[in-house]
Amino acid sequence: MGDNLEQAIGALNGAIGDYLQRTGNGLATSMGFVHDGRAVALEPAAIAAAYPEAGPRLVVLVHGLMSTEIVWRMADGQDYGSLLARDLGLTPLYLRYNSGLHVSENGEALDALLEALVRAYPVPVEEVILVCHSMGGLVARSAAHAASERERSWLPLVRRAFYLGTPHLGAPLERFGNVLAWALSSLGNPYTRLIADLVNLRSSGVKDLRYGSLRREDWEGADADALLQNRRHPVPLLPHIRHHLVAATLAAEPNLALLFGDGLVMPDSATGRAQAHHRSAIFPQEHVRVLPSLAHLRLAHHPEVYALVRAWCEEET
Amino acid sequence: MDRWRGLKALVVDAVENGSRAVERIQMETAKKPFDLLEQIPPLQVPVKGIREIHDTAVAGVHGMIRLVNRVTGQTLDLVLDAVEHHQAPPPPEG
Repeated sequence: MGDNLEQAIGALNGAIGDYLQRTGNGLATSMGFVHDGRAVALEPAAIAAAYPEAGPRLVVLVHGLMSTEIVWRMADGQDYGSLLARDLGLTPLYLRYNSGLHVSENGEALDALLEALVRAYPVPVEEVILVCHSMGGLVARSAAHAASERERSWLPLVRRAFYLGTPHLGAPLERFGNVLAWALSSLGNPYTRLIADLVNLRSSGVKDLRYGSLRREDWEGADADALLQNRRHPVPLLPHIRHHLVAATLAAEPNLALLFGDGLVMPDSATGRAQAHHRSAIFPQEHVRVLPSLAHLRLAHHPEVYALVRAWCEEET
Repeated sequence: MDRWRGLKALVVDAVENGSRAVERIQMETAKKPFDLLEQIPPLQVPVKGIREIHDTAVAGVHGMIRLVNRVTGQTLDLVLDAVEHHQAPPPPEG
């Protein structure tokens, strides 16, 4: 019941989390690290109590839209964090946040949180590895961008980031939602306008997935429901971070794989193969894998994905 | 308890905004036939009266729904306050 409730609240936050936050609703999730389902205060004593074997190498797991840290859990109860702790001695930290807020708002909050973590951590931090599923990858990139403008101490500690099914170039489902709402509202019929209003209730976080917006300037002062307007501002890839991208496709057959992607994100978007009109950084393709016959959510808890993450973690940077 | 309050607020907001949206649709849907009928001179006066009654009735019904919704929300707030007070540990003596 507890996990189901947390998952339901995570889904609700993803759907209308910006509204919950704006109205001060008690169902709005605050960003923070969670250990055994409880929030961890960023104070040395609290961190030491939650992680008695806190090591200098951290892995931060950032979930995606409408999720919580429960998304990482495999059938046997293990997850990428616990496996990396067992296999490579990393200390896993699981982030929980309101995925209905703008990606840039969550990015700024994550930047501040990681800075506070590094300062309060009981031993000097040597390395931070980011493992991100879906929208979590955008939040992490947004946080890194925010940190690069503030000279944060956590940023140089990040040498690897893993993006699992992250829609770097946006998601077609959100673009469809945008077109649908625009068309319904343009018909001028009160009933279709009501349906358009309902469709447009979806959160700012969801709307940011239209083009994979990372920065505040991408949405500030703009009409979020305007038809297919890409207002992305460029976010360069930080050269000291090695970016690893994993995409999935529902189908094994290449044409069907291109058509359906992983069910939510297309392979081009998840592998960051940007063209000029995407107004996005181009990701180097030497650390990209596309896994066939795998759905979007499974990327967060699949042994084959873990094997990739582990192998990449063992490579020299 | 924050989550219960949040759930209550969400339901109250949904009823409030839902009622406003449905009221707007009912008014807009009825507007066209009333506008057309009012173009016919012999019907103009009675249609105006019927329209007045219709609009008042729709606004009244939805106003009542929202009023009951708000009162129910405030009552639930009192209940949640009482439950919270009951659950709170007693203050230390001395």
